Amino acid sequence: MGDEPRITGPTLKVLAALLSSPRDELSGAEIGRAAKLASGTLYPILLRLEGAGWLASRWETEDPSELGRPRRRFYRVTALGAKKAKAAVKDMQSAFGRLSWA
Amino acid sequence: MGVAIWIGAIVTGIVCAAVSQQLTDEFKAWTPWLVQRLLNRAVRRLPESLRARFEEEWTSHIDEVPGHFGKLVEAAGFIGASKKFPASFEGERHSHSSPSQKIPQQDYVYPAYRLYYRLYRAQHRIPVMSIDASLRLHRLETLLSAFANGGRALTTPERQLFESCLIDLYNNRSSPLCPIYAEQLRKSVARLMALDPDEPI
Repeated sequence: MGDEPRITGPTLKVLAALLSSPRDELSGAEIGRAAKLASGTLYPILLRLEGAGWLASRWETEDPSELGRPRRRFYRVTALGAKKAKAAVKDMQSAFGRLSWA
Repeated sequence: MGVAIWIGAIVTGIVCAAVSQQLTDEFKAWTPWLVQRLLNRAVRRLPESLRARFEEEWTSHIDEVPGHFGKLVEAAGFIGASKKFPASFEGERHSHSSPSQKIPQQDYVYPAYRLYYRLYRAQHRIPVMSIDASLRLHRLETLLSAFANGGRALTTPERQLFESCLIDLYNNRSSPLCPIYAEQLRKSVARLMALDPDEPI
């Protein structure tokens, strides 16, 4: 497990996309679409959050030849990640006040 | 004369349609090759330990993207991603870092400072960088005051700037100057919000 990741706007979008999804886990492309982030921004964040233990990922178990497409890697928020993300948002709000235009 | 123009227009239309169809077909035919080239290039820039994983993951990502152009854009994005992988992998990757990346982040992208700096540069075109923290703070106060009294309406990019600044402030909250900047920022936002958006500068 690595250092605490820096909280940035795109990081919050990634966490929000995962936490607000009705499914437990999403592929990178699905997260990118939900968070409206380009692949160039998305994957460094995913890897950083995974390194910090906020996210976990796994390959899908189905056989790619049966699926007829490459297998996907799914990401989900860990219990630690959910806790830290909520704490970060709470800290931000208490320190600087709620943004009226948000 | 009129008939000739009509015939010319029809022939031109047919030729254009044929050429554009040919170009589209060419684009479609070349896209997989181009995408693969971009993907390979991005993967080569990654740390050795991550290459296999991301080669497969990014291939599946591309597969999920509809349309040839979209695939191309995403594949180009992977090149950018490979440059921005976390610092913990920095040592394993071929370094493309510039000298500025070696400057401690706390100083060189100090959040509120960055905001004021950008606003100040936009209005006055005078650099305000200084290694002296007290001088910097003084300049920032001047900037803030100038900006807050400017009567500028808060546009969407400005709001986004403030939001990103607040997030940066949060990330640098351990700095002793952070509370001062945060308070100044909050006051300036309040004053800006109270101003008449249509009032000229």
